[in-house]
Amino acid sequence: MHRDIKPDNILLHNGSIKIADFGFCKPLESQNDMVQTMLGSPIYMAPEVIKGEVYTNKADIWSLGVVLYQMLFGKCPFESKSIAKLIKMLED
Amino acid sequence: MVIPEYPKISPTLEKLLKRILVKDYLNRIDWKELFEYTVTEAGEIFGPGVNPNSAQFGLRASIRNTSNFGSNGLNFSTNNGSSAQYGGQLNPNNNSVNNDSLKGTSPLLSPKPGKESTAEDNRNYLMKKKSPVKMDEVPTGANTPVNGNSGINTSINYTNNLIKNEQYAKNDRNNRVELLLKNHAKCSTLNQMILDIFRFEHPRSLYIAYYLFKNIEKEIASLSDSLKKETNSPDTANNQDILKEFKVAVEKELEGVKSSLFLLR
Repeated sequence: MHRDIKPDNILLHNGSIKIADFGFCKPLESQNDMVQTMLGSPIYMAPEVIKGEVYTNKADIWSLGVVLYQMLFGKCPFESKSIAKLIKMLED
Repeated sequence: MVIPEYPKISPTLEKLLKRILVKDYLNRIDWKELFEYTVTEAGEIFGPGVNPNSAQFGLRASIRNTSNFGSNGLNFSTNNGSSAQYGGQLNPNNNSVNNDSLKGTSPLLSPKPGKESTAEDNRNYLMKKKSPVKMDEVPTGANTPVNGNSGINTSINYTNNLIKNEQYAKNDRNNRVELLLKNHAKCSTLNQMILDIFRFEHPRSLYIAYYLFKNIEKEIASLSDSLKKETNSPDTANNQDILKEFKVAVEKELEGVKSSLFLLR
């Protein structure tokens, strides 16, 4: 699990997309393995991560979705100035 | 999560976004399902179970994915590379049918060819085919331009407009038939050119031939409709034999184009 998927960590090199910054990555033995450490960039964090709950590798998929949304529409689907407000948005 | 109205995204992409950005991770898409989506180099996205290489999509995707496509012009003088270079969905033995066409939803809709004809039959037919209309059969007396220009008419508007304009049709019935003949001659010439491109059997030429055939199919179908109306009109009672012969020629031409399209798919 990468745990910090965001535009800054996605590089384009010779026409290939490369993921960078594996500083937060954690190897998982199965798809259902769960972790709880809150890491990453809040705007790209999955709801379960930002709320401090256990999460799986699907958290990376959420981050990828936020990046995709941002690429398409030029803004993030959930934006807020504070983490508290962001959590509130994600809960609604 | 709100999907903005602009910029417009495809329904597949919208669905994918909605599957990714699910707050409950248990219901969120997983990596396995995510990788079932296919993105072509052209940026088109296809959902799980949709094969971009299948009949309808494959051609478009393959055209764009073909390296150097369009970098070399067609050279008619070097039409000697006729060894079969079909590949993938363009294999003449591949009888895969465009299911969207069968459902009647395809923008490239074309009626399904007869079940008894095989791709190989169609291919043989095309290789031997000659145009049913000789160029010297075209009337030369009228100077009325087809569709107001001297180029090959790829629009169906002129026939429709003429049909709508009954007064014009009554006053100028003969000229109208001449226009149809002229238009058919142009279609035949273009059809022959496409067949030449087709006979290259190079993937690139097959792509070009496919799209040209789609255009010519529309044109000939429109011509065929116009002819049916002409044949049924009391104004053309004296020319029924000629019109019927003409109609048969046009229908043969249309059948040939449809066979070509079926083969190319």
